[in-house]
Amino acid sequence: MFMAIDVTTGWETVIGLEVHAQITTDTKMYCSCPSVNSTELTEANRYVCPVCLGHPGTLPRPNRQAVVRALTLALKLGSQINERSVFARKNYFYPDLPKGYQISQYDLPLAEGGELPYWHNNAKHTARLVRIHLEEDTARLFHLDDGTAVLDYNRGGVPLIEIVSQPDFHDPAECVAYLDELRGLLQRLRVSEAAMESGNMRCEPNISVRPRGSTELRTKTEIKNLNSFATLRRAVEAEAQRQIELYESGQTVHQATMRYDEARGITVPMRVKETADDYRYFDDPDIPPLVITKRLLDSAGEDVRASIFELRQMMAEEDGISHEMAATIADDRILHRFYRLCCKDGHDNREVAKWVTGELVRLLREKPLRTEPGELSKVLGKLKSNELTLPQARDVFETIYLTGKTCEAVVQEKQYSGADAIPLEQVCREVIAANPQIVADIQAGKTNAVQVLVGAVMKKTRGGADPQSTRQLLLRLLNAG
Amino acid sequence: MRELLVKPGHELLDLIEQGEIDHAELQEAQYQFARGIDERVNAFISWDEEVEHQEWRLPMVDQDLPRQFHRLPYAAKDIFTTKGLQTTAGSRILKGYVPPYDASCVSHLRHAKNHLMGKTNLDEFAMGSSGEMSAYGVTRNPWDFDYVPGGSSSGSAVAVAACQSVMALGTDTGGSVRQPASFCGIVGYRPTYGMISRYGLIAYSSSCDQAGIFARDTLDVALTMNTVSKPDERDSTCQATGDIDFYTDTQRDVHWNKLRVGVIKPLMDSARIDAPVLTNFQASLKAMTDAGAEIVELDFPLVDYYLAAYYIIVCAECSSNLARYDGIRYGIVSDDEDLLARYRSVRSRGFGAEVKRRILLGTYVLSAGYYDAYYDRARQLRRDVREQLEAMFTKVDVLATPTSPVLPFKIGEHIQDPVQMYLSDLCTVFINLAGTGGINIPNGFGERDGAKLPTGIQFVCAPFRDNLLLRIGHQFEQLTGWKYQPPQWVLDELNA
Repeated sequence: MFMAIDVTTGWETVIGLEVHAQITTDTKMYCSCPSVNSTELTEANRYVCPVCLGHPGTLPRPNRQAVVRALTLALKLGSQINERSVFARKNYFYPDLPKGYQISQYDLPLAEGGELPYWHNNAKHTARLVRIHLEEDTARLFHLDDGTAVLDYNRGGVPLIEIVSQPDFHDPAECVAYLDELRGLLQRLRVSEAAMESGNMRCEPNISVRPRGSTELRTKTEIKNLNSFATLRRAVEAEAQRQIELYESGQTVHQATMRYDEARGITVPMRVKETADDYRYFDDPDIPPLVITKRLLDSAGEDVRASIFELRQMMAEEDGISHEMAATIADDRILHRFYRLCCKDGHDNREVAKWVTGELVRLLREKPLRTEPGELSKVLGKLKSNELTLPQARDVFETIYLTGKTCEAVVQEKQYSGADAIPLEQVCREVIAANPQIVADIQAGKTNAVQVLVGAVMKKTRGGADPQSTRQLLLRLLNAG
Repeated sequence: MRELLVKPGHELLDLIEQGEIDHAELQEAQYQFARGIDERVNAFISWDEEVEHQEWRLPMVDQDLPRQFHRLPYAAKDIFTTKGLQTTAGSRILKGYVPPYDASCVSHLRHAKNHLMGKTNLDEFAMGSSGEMSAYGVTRNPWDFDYVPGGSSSGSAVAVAACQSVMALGTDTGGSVRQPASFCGIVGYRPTYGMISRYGLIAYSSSCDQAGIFARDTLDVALTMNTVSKPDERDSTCQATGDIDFYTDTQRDVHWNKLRVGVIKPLMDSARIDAPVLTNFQASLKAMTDAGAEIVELDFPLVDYYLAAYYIIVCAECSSNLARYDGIRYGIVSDDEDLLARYRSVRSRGFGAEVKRRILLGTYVLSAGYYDAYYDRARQLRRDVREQLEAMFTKVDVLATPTSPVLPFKIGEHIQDPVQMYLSDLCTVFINLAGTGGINIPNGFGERDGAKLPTGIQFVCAPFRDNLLLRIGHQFEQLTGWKYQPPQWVLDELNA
């Protein structure tokens, strides 16, 4: 376990995250070629033109739609939007970069600062952001078995948004929680499809370690090409371990770009990089500074609202939940996150929507959230497999929410077992046998007294029985008796 | 028909419109003449061999438009992309490169049914001031074949001067239109940055590059501007509106007695300016004073610094602009299996010495640790140049300087001394730093080692006052009775 390393060695890991996501737009960042999602299988080099192939004499033209979408995210994260931001050239040679430079942003990015709250280990964390900027994707390079390489420029020039966090993370699990939250936000705002598995959202962690208790920032390394949360977690652990071992054996860590070797479970350097200035950044003379006008901001603000509206429509039409519930869920970040993740776990949309708008909304009014959607998902799983009855499930979730305990722990503690496992009829008979006076009253016509027996059954089954059916069963047994 | 080829385009257009001559015959005569004499001057790299000219089948130019450069032959510097016609930028690295698209201004000229005869020679990637830096041979000055025609738009200047073309497109990054125009004795105009789209203009220094026009007189320049100065959404830096009628505007009167002409004292200093150049410049000033103009002497404290700032900026930008020539998608290729070896092979063989020098200089000034000392200071200096020029234009309507501080020099004279070569840009580069417009108007000849060589005066306007600049250029031609007369051997050929 990662935490074990920290505790035993006295080293603390410091992680910052750079996230790249392809912005959902009709055309590429600097030309009018269709911007195709990298998961779509298309003929290689189909969506290319002289501009995105870097032909001599061509010029870039920034995509307004990409700017608006990026602004939408910046507004939502509370970032400071630079009224005037500048496109800069990042110069390096590689075949996937047709111009020999990538048009990105450097000194003056689109937006700076902002924060993203997220939940991890039942506690609220806030990730502080450094900057949000626009850039273009590179082409795809495929190495063939015969040693040659082929290029597909369809992806070259697709708009990217880069979101850089402060080095605020100390544990890969925290990174994953943050990334998951960011992914949900990008999707909800329709800024990006943000699917890591298809490569339209990528994450590059930068890692350093320091003696526990110290506040210094030591030399960091960067890991590239991570394509899942699981890989990210293992890669960060391996890299932190490598650095700790270096320091403990009296060596130092050099700034480098690393690659994670999945098979061997270790990180290996890709290339040594002296400083970031090797890229010889300078303002791109082909693009005048981007001035954020009120009109652009209004469109972005409109998009924030519109994306929520669209989301409601979609949930109502595609998920089949009521418009009212859809509206409640879409408008709230927490509700939507619970809804999205539980549905993703395979639970019925309408069932999840009921829980989220019912139980969760009620509990949120009582106490601030400290529970992960995964816990609700587990409760729903147990309900579905009849390990819990509906009232038990409600009780378990409430306890989880209020105490911060896990689903397993609460079920264990309450010794709940599912309705099917309880021989309800036997319990009822026992209760009837133990309460002759009440039975006599009922049989004398005081039918309301049956509630006392119901209560006794509930007590005996620790709430596992359904009160309605218990009542009917009791009455039937008494009549029969 | 041949004898007509000495006339400016607007006069030829009159003849075409009056039905006196047939434009197809004119173009044929022009094409044959140009090819016939080119081995003497080497102005062209490639010719449009197309027999049936596609342009002529295009619909007529909209009659509601102001007068256009229309149905006339022209040439373009081989740095403008031309669909289906090889474009080399004067470099070996682009040998055989056939662009898939037309530069915006080429496309405008095509739609106005003009015939592009071919692509003209230039210093490789527009880096040079002499026409000696091309991978396709040296271009010669038609006034004396031992002398350079200036650069970098050498072939375009020569083509117009030697009557190989009515008009030619060039590019001007530091004087590459005005200086060769001066060396060849014709009119050369560089508009304010943004007046002509840069789309399809192979980049050298994006913040200084601007397309320009060579012609026999200012009216032809104005005629061409009506056709090529158009808004272009493919170039984010293009600021042309397309709603100025330059041709009509240029013919409006300038009241010399209301005109304040600024002269820059340090650019009239005999330590910096050759005697014959200075003599002709003083004579031009006198002609304007006699007409009633007020001459205002101005100081320019940055005169000793801006050349250095200019070279830092253009080298920095070129190091990045030329990174795309990697032998992967177009141009010459390499068989090396290793990626780095490929880059090395293609770029070592493909680029000439001057281009390599500037890429190295540019890479250096942008590098970590040197950026602040060089590039950043150059940018600051550029802002200061802009401010000083702005201040000058509060006192004067137009500036006048010699276009080149020297007469044309001999082929090979400065080839070993790049700094001496850079110094010949002294009078032209500051307007590129400031992003404004300038024009060369021929103002006489000077003698050097028995050779009779042209000189020119440069007028400079405040940004986007180009219509005033052209008007002044035109009026100056009227004042001095200017009419283009080519070198005698060209006249002899025309009348042969």
